[in-house]
Amino acid sequence: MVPAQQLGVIGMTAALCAALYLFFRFSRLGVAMQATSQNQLAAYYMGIPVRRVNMMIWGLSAGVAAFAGILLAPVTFIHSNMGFIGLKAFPAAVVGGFAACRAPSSAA
Amino acid sequence: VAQREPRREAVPVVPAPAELVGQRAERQRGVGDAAREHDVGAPRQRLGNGLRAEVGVGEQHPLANGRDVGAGVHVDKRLARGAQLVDAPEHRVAGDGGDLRRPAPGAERAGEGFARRLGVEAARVQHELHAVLRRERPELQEHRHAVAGVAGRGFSGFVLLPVLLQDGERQFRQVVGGDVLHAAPLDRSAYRLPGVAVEAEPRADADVLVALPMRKFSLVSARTKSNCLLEFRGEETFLSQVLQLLLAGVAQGCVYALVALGFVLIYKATETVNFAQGDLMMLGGFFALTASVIMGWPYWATIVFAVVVMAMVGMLAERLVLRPVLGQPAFTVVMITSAWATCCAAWSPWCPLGTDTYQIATPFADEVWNLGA
Repeated sequence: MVPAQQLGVIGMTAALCAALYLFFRFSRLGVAMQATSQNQLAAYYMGIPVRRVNMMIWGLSAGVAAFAGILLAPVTFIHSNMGFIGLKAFPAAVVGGFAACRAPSSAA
Repeated sequence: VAQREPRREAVPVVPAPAELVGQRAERQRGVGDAAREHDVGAPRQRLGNGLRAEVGVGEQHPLANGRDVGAGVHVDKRLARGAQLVDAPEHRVAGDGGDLRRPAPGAERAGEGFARRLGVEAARVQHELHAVLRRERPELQEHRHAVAGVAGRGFSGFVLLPVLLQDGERQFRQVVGGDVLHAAPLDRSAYRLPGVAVEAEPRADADVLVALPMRKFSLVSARTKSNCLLEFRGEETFLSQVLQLLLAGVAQGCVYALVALGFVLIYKATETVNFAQGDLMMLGGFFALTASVIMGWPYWATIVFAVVVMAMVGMLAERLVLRPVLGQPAFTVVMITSAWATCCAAWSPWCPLGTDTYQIATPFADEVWNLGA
């Protein structure tokens, strides 16, 4: 007996991760984001609009956060103190490694 | 009244006025333990001197001496979550008494726990409901199928569900006699069984709640129109509990991971930490709520809407707030995002949606998948 809710959360998280993987691996913008994150100056010299890419990274991050909020909504509900969950996620980021967003193409 | 009593006689049943449960005498002897909760009036009590007196009643006597009176569950007129309910006595039925078959042992156990917690009589449900329905009322076959369809979807346990009947519960009781619990009228909104996979939509004209016994039990709860809460907690295996906890933890961890992913994305790209990530999540949740509840959009559209809007919010924030401080020490951004988080938390109570707690309906809410046995 498994609540489908939780399986849905897990499945949608996995789907989002897969989508992000594909985005960073194959799309021009994703590769540009990786390049920017590795060396902004070099990326700028290579013609990548670093500022715009940074803006898009903020947008992407906010979108991912919104997705997390939607997934969390049925479990712990939506309320105005949800922001504190960010504090709980901070250790998650530390444990996972803040710099561990190893992009597949950069590893190759 | 008392169709199967051995010494049956016509008894005038006078509907007693409704009264609070607590006002009744604790023990009205002569009717066994039955008097306290279902006060069926003196004539019926007298008649009930026999078997009915042994129907397990209330939390103190959940079981009937180990013997089985197939009277089923009384679902009316109970103390639900501490509230004293008043119900018209004629809605209460003491079951049909003398069907002395032994129920499944599991049914006894489930009934016991059930009764202990909620003060509802032990669930005595016979296994032969289908058989009875088929034998005596062939026209109810389709309901039986509906019932079986719900019960058979990998779900095992008591299933409470409304059954459509032409003239309501009385006839249904007449059909199945003592084999089925007494069914309480349901209203539409009461038909909500968290943790149970139910295929059928509740029907407006379904007014009978039926519990079907299956081999195992699961968590079922429902509130009837008379505001009594039915809940059957079944036997859950250790493994399934472990699995449930594991999945709950993984699901929660997935959400944390997504928020952490946001941290990491920004950190990797801009070498700063966005302390407002959790508040971005909150904003996204509220946008989703707006789309889902206020605008009534479907779930998937809600997701797209919230994600797109929040992406724009994020880009706008970067452009308006963070780009002007480009080149400043990284600590500046930390302070800015912290202030942003504080503002979100502090100002959101003034927003129209306010400080309340909301829930978004998801397509998979309240569903249960049965994995394995």
